[in-house]
Amino acid sequence: MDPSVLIVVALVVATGLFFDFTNGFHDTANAMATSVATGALRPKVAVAISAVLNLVGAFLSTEVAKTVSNGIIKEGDGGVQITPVMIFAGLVGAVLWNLTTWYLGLPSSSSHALFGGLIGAALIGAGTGAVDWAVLVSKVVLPALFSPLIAGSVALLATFLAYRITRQARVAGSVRGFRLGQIVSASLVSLAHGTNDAQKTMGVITLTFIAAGIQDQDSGPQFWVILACGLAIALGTYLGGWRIMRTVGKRITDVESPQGFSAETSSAATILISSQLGFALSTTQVTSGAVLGSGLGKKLASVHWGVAGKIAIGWVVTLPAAALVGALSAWVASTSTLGLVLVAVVAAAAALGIYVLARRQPVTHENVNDEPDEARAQPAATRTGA
Amino acid sequence: MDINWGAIALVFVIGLAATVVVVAAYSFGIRLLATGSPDEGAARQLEGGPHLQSSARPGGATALGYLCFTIAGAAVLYGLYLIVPQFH
Repeated sequence: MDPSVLIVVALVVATGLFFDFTNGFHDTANAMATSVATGALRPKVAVAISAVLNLVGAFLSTEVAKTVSNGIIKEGDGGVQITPVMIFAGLVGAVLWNLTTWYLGLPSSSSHALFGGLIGAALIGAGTGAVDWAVLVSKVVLPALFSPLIAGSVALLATFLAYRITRQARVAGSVRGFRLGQIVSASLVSLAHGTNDAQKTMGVITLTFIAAGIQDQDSGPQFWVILACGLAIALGTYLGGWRIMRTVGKRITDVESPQGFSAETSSAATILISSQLGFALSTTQVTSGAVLGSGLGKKLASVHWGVAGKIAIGWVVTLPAAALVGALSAWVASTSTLGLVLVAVVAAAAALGIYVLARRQPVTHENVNDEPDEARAQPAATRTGA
Repeated sequence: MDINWGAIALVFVIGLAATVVVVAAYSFGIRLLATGSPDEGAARQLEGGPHLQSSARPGGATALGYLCFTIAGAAVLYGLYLIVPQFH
């Protein structure tokens, strides 16, 4: 085999696993931020549970892996030949955008980052004909618009009911009860996440093996790929994106246990039902929307609209931003092997740079629940109950 | 463009119904099992005042409370069933 192909494939595997890792620590917040914020689970315990469930989820199903990237980028007869270099460039775009939003503490969709990166790379590598825009709108843009709306309004009503039925959570045992319920529903969200997100990287790595002629077409991911992806996402989950968790659990609204329970139950129900009906919603956008809705559902609870606005802007920008980085990477990487190595080095340096920047104001399991300045400045942020 | 409005509406309606059933059942369970007990925080507020007595919980409240928790628990099991493909 051509050694330059081997270099690309190795780079894709490495970047892919790193993407899976960032996916894990980005999305810990989805399931566990509310449980950490209300004290239902100690931070370290929360991330450990989520990590194990993500690992288990990775082994449960490989259906998503088999269908990944079928659709948005046209492949095969009449479409374009997607090359390993393009996949690598797409992954670079996804990883760098994930790290950027992590630094900013924004819960953005890792799937959008991945699709964005791949789309950008495909545009450069194969032209506008490579992207199926109609599929892009119906599979990515519309779900992104509807996820927070649906989950938010469901969580709003659920929160209202939970407080109403338990007399503002003042009846005996309500705090303990809601915390327990919250742990269960958050665990369901974690498991559902594992069956989805680890799959995407498996799919991408398998696609690369097929494109490089290492693996037969139509075959599923190999066992070591499943294991490596599961471990990468579990490790990322365990290390925890505390920056994002603080945003979701404390900054959108200060979550209390009845709200956390309502938000996680809404998320679990919405995610499960949407995937059953073949209209998959983004986990990140569902949970952020549900937390916002749970803030509105409680009387007098304050929602920090500035924070919600920043998150919304992050969602809009995610796909194009990752696409831009993916396109740039594809442009340089497809020139020569030297260009490819250059992209890898620059990307690694950029990732390290963001990490060093983040170290200056670290958010860890110890200070994840500290009140941010904006919240403290607003007296309306009442802290009653849990 | 083919926008599947029906699917979007269906996700909303079923998601809303399922969530309302689970959250309401679980909350009623908490409320029913709290029957007869003083509210949380009430004991502390009235410290030094008249001692708050927990009256016995009627059997009906206990039974209904556990029924509510059973409904919520069944929903969790169904969720697990949906997530794990080996089950279907």
